[in-house]
This record gives sequence, C-alpha cells and structure tokens, in this order.
Amino acid sequence: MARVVVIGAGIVGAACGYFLARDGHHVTVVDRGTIGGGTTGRGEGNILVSDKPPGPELELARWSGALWHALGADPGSGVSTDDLEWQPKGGLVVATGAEALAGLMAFAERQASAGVECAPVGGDDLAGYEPHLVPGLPGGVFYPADQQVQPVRAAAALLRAARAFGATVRCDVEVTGVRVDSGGAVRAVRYRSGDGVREIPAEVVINAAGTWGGEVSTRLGAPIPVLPRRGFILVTEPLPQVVRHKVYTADYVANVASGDAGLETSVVVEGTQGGTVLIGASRERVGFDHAVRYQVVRLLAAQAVRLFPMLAGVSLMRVYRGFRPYCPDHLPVIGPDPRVPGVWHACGHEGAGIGLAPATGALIADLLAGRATRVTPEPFSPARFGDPSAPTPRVPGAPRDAGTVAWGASA
Amino acid sequence: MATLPCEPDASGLGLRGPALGGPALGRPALGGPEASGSVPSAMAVGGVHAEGIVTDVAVVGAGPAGLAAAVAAAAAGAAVVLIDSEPVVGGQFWRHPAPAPVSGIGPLREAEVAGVHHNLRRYRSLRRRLAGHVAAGTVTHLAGHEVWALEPLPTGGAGCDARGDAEEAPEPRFAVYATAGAPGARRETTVHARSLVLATGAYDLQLPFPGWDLPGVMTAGGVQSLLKGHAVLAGRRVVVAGTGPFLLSVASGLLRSGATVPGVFEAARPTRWLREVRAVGAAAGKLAEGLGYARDLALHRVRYRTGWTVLRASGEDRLQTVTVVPLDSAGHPVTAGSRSIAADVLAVGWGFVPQLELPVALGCGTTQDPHGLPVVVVDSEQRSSVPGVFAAGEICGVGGAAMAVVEGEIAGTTAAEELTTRTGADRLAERAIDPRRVHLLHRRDAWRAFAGALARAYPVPAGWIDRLDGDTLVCRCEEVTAGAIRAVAIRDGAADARSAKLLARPGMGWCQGRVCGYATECLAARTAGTTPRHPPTERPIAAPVPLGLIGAEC
Amino acid sequence: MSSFTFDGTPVEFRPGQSIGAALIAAGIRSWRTTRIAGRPRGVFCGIGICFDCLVRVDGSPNQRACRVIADEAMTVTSQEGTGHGDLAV
Repeated sequence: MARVVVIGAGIVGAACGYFLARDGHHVTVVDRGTIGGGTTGRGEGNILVSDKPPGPELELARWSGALWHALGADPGSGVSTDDLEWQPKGGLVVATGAEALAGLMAFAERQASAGVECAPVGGDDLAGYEPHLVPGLPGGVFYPADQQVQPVRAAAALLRAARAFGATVRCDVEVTGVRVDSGGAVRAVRYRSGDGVREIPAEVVINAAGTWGGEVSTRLGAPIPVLPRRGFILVTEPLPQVVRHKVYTADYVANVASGDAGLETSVVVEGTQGGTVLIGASRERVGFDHAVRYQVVRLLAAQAVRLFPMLAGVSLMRVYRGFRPYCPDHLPVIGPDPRVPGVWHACGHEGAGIGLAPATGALIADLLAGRATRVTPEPFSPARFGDPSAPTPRVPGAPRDAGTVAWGASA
Repeated sequence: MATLPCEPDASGLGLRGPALGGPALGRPALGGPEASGSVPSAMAVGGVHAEGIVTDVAVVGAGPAGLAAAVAAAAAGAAVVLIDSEPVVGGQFWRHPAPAPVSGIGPLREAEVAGVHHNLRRYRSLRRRLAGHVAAGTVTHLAGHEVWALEPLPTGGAGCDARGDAEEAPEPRFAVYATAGAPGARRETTVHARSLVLATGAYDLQLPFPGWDLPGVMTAGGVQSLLKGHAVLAGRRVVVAGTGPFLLSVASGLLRSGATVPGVFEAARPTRWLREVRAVGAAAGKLAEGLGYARDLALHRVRYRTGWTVLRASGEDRLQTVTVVPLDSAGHPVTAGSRSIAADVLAVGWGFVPQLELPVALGCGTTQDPHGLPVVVVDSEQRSSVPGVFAAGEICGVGGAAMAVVEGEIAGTTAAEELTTRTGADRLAERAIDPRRVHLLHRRDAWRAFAGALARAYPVPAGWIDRLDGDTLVCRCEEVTAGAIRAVAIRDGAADARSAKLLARPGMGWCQGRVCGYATECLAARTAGTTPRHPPTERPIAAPVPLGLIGAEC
Repeated sequence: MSSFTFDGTPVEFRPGQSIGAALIAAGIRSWRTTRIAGRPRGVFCGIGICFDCLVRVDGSPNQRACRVIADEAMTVTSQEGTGHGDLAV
C-alpha cells in the first residue's frame, strides 16, 4: 500500500481520495483552499452521457454514471443520496429547427450504437416531458441515464467516506513541489507553511487540481497543458419544480467540442433540489479573467426565455462563473506521468468533471493496483502530450543536493 | 421645484438643457459648447448593452453622501445622473415620504416626520440645490431606479458620442444598469458614465437569536424607516435592543410619535466613549443629539439599560414577549436576572453593514472596519483604487450622515474636476490651498475619529453565538439553522460563510447573504476553531431582475 | 382615505406609503409563509434588503412590500412558499 497525496479537494480529488482509501492506501487529500472551492462549486453538478459522441470520454462517462448510481444505492459505499442531492432526472436534448433535428438524430444513432440509452421524442410529445417548453419545436431525444448531484455536497460526501476509510483531508495546504530520490521518483510532497516549507512523505502524488492542474503540474516537474474556459451560470429565484430534466439545445455538443476562442453559448436549463433553476451555458477562452460580462448574462437569459417562456417573469437572483479545465484535445488527463515516477494526473475534465469523477478515481485506483481497467486508459494518458524522455524544465536557483531535488515554485 | 417623480422625462432618456457657456470660473464646459446635461445615445459600444444615457458623473445612491456628491459635481460643471432606488432623496438617515399626487387625500407631509429628523436644514438645502440643477438640466435624477449591475466599458470602445467636441470629452468608462417601474411593468435604463461616485450606504447588521424570525421582530432601521418614510408606527409597545447610539434615535422617534417603549437595552457599557474626549469634542453636534435623546427617554420614563441584551423573542405566529437579560463583565448572560416583557414589536440593531457589491464588482480595493466588515479604501479625495470610481459615505466606513455629506462633496467635486481638460498639477496646487477643501478634509478627519471611537465603544457583543439554539434560524431566506451550519463546520470543515453556503445553503436565498452573512461567517469559523475573515462578497447581481427584462434586446 | 385590497379586504393607506407600511399600520403583521417550514413573515428590515416582506401585487409575486408604493388600483394578495405555485409541474 502506497502513501498517496491527492492535490485538490474538489470532486475529482475527492473521488480519487475515496477510491484509493477504499483500496487501503494511506491517503492525504490536500487543498490550498476549501473543499469544492474551485470549479466544483461553480458548475451545475451534471452527470451526462447525452452530450458525448462515441469515443473514450463516452466510455468513461458510462462507467462513471454507473458508479454514481452505485455510490448512492449501496449502503456500504459510505455515501448517501441525500448527502449528494442525487437526482436521476434524465436529459432532454431539443432541436430548434429541422436541420438541427436531423443532426441530433444522427448523433443519437451513433450514441445508441455505442450503447447509450436514448429515445427520440416527436415534437408533439415534448410537452409531455416538459410542460413549460416553448411549443413548436420539431423534436428531441431523451436520455434516461443523465443525472445530477449538488457538486460541493457530493465532494464533501466522498471525502467523508474517504475519511471513514482512513484518509486525511487538509485544507489551506498549498503544494509547492515534490522531493524526489536519486532515481527521480517522488519521496515527498512539499507545501508552504508559515514562512517555510514542510513535507508530507508520499510515493504517489495525484494532481487533481482541476483548472490549476497546469500550474500544479509544473510545480511537480511534469507539466501538462490544462487551460481555463470560462463559463457563467445564471441562478433564478426559488421555484417549485418547473423543469423536470436537464434540458438543452442540440448546439450544446458542438460548443463543447469547439476549439473556438470566442464566445460560444448554448441553452441549458435545469432545476435543482434547492428550487432554483440554473441557466447556462457559455464558453470563452479569456484566461482567468474573473470579470462578469453582462452581455453574456443577457444572452443566456434571452435564450432561456425563448426556450421556456414562463421564465420571462422569473427573477435572476445570482450569477456565478467558473473556469472549466480543458486540454487541447478535449480529453481529461488521467494516469501516471512518464517523466516523474510517482506523479499522476487526474484533471482536465472541462465541463464534465462531476460526471467523470468516480470513474477517474476508480481508474486511478485500478491502474495503481495493476488491475485490469474497465476502460482503455491510453487515450487519457499524460504521455500523449509530448516526448516523455525530454528533460523537464528546472527551476532556476532551486537547490541541488544529492538525493534532494526540489521542483517548483519557491520550494 | 419639487423633485422629479419616479419617471424620467417624457423622452425617457434624460434632459437636454440650453448650451452652457461655462460656469463662472471660466472652466470649459464639459462635453463642449453644443450640448449640456446628459444626452441620450444609441451607442454601439461593442458587445455592451446600448441605448442609454451618457453622462460625465453617475452617482449611485441619494443618501447624504450621494446627494452631496451630485450637487457638488453639478456645481463643478459636470453633467450628472443621480440614480437612487427610493422615490425621494435622503437615503436612510434623511428618509422622507414619497411624493403623493396632489389630488390624494391625506398624503404624507414632510412636517409630520420632521419631528424625528436631524439636521433638516442641511438636507433641505441640498435638496433645493439638487432641484435647481435638475431644472437646469445638469442633473438627471433617476428616482425609483434600482441598480442591478454595472461594469467597465471596453477600453477604447467604439461609440458615437452625440456631443460635439468629442475629443474634449473622454469616452464613458462605465455602464450602469438599473430597473424601475411598477410590479409586472418594469423597464431598464442604462447609464454610460465617464466617472462614478458610489454612495450605496449601509444597512442594519443583524445577529440571530431564538425567535428573531417571528413577525414583529424588525430591524431598528426598519422601524425608523416606517416612521420617517411612511409616518407609520411599527407597533404600540416597542422594545428596542441591540447596540449602538442608533437605538436611542429609534426610541426617541417612537416616543415622539406616541408609541410605548418598555425599555431600551444596550448590550455595551459605552462609558468609555465619553472618555475619548478629543473625538467627542470634534463632534459636538452629535453630543447634543445624544443629549436630546436622553431627554426624550427621561421625559417618558423609559429605562435605558446598558449591559443588557435580548435573549429570545417568543410568540405563536407573531411576537408577544421579549426576554432580556443582563450581561456580566465577560459578556455572559446572567440568566437569573432575565425579564420578560410583553411587546408587539422588537426593534433590534447591532451596527451597520456597508453595502459594497457595486464597488466590489468593479474591483475596488477594500479593507476592514472595526467590526471586520469590508469597506472601500479611498484616498483623501475619495478615489477608490479603480480609476474613475469614487466612493463616499458609509461604504468607506460607517460614520454617520455628517461625514457622508463631507465625503460626498469631496467625491463629487473631484470627480467633476478630473473630467475637465485642466492638468492634474494645476488642480492639485489649487486644491491644496482651497479653503473650502481644507475645511472639508479637516471635518472629515474629525468625523472619522469620532466614528472610530463610536465603533470601539459599541462592539458586536461577544457571546451571541452561545445564545443560539440548534434550531435558531441563521439564514432567514433559506431557513438554515445554527445547527445545520455547525454540522457542516464540524463534519466538512466548512470554516467560512462561502463553504457553509455551498454545503448547507445559508446565503443562497433572495437576500444573497446580506442579512445572515456576518453571522454565518462568525458561526462557521467559531465552530471550526478559526478566525472569521469576512472577505468582501461578490454579488454580480446587485438586485433581482426579471430574466425577460434583461434579455429583452438579445 | 385611499385603499387597496389585501386578500379581498380593503386596507387604507395614505398616498406615499408603501404597501408594507399600510399593512403594518392596519395591524397586519405577516402576509406570506416560507417555503420550507411554512412560517409567517412580514416586514423585517424595512428597507428592501432582506426580502422577507414578499407579497403578490396585481398578480406579480415576490414584490417587496416595503418598497412598492401603494396605489388605489392595486390588488395585493398573500403568498405561500415560492409564490409561483401555479407554475409547478
């Protein structure tokens, strides 16, 4: 059993902590902030298969969706559905025009061949699913496997369960680097403490730092390209249930896959257990620009009202924004890094972090244990980004003791 | 001339007055000779909501600070838009009744509420001067307009400026979005301003206690607002409790209006305040005001008990009984000494929370006031850390109306002067010897010292956390109990308001944590064994706004 | 004296007063119930910050009674929970 440090107490870090602790490893989950304080607290909590074309991410999503089900249903998991505000509500994707419908149907057919459960819904039948949907849409597809949780509660629940399996969770710990042995393998994780630097002994460190996974990976001496993609979410006043499923328009998928730097919006509307309705979705590559652009807010509001006219008289109460962590090829990074033995990555999940978290944690656990994995791990491997034998950049001025090489920021 | 009603003028877009030749000092008129006042503009500013009023200085808030700022900016030659959510200027301190139609029977008259006001001469003077500017077209008063958001305009944003001499007038730097109108008939107005003066004031700090959510328990400010703004007594028997000299003001107003006040229960023992001679000396007016209150209480034989606080409010579906208790020197309740008082209203106030969402949205630097709450950092000319954004009044530090007026005048004057084409060096030199400015700065410093002494004399009473039951509501909107917040602090290490919010929902409701934010932060931190930090809260939506309205033009 | 109707009953007001002020003056302390525990609420902060005093005005729910100026023609009704019960599916 290894001593593992998981960097990041968001949903992915929590899932990794949970599965690794369950396997019997000695696990410490650390975060420079609070539980779910990053992107985990700034999304909608979706667990989707509906938006994924056939491919490695879909396979991961299907496995992960099943794990979310199991977590909630199995009393031995240590996690309860109440804690998660888990809703297996299903997703309804609607087309706003004939051409979009044709595209959506073709997409759904491909997904069906890959094993995704989906049912076409004719225009006249949409109201049966969503009574408040604007009439006249040509049709859509329903995906019963889509689910939702409250993401910060879910992360907290997974961490509680991890602690029940012996893990430790430490907040306000900012990792600055790792100490490696003469063979270059990880021996300890270094973090800022007061005026100095302290260590947590570990053979395995998991970079689950989400949108800051790029920064952290550099500090670990194993840089990977994780970049931010800003999104806004609008929150309405509390309502009774007015939207039963996650509802979005067919252009959502094209947006997710797009590499465009400019603003992309699609219409996403769904309810929550708390009663508010969440409205999205926007994607912009603006670095970590925190500013709220009200033109985007207006656009999202207008689009939502066009889809659900009764929202016109409903008040916008809150707006928040988050930075999705994405990699250039739109796949997360999961697995051991070839450059620094002991460094593993589990980040870059873009807008699918909540959904993919359990499978990410389970995959990491399986790989670490040398077990057969349920999905093919290669597409997610950190090795895909470049030459694993290339020398890693050294921090100028870092100490060079034999047996102690410190990487990263001000270590 | 009376202040404008809640509607802007017929065009809906602001007033166009006669061309200015320039004020007496010979400074060039802002915006050039062809137009004055704020002008409508269908600006196609890239990606920003267009179709708004363009102006030199937008002042948000028409309390003492905002009112003074608008008048000063206009007097200094700027075109001003004054945006305020109330129908009548005055904010909280100078709250006055809304104007009533002449034909109405029994409209509220100012005279009725004059008895509970202070410094009315200053208020009336400012209001008169504002009216003059409105009539002249130099101020557009958007009354009844609630700001829901603002943002910087893209730098170098394209924009056809309808004025002449565009090169003399810099491009607007900020867009302010506000809504107005009757329920179900709201409309939006956008103001594009070159500079902003933010004077959004403060609201009552609240501490939860068992029963505080019963109808009949109101904030001290709420009771005062009913009286000053609506000539309504909140109740017949009103117990006043909490901390701070404001309690005296509320009690006095109630007594003068015929209510029974069974007692005023002040948690602090503020005799130390009287020892800070220098500060008090500079605020002689305040002292006189205080003595006036003491006289009112004595006249009505109302006991003002210091070192006492409220333990709980009780009743079926409305307040019926208030239980108060003396505190020992460590601030712990001496339960044996508790008394129950029949009352239909309990007015509670524990100080004030500066309302910072607008300056925070713009990125203005903040610091902490004596209660740990964020306030805007400003220099001696009321400049915030963001160029073009000025702040004045309570949001720079709770210090009362007199200080707010002084700060407002400084902010408004500076904001206007900055927009003229004179060089900075000239202005600074002139200002350093300007007797008016020197006088204002001196008075502001005096008020600041007084405010500091006051805050130290009336701290938030320690121990309120211990008086919470597990089922005492902390978040009124989402009905989150102290027990629920303690649970996530213990179970999940939620040591701050934000983490508690994400796990247990306090602060997720309509008021977005304005009422419960301070208490939640304190409770979460205390339970987790850490120090509350009270970071400035971001609220990108400053007031709820209908989705259909804000997306109307997309 | 002018009046508006509140749950069908006339409530007197003086022009310039808010709905909340008029209700309080008429001795009415609460006009809505919370959505989780069904507890009564009326005026708390009185200045538009707390959103406790929500009431339905001319069919529009969740209006702050302390901020809406009363009008002769107004129909004011108490509300339950979210105020949007009619939208539930």
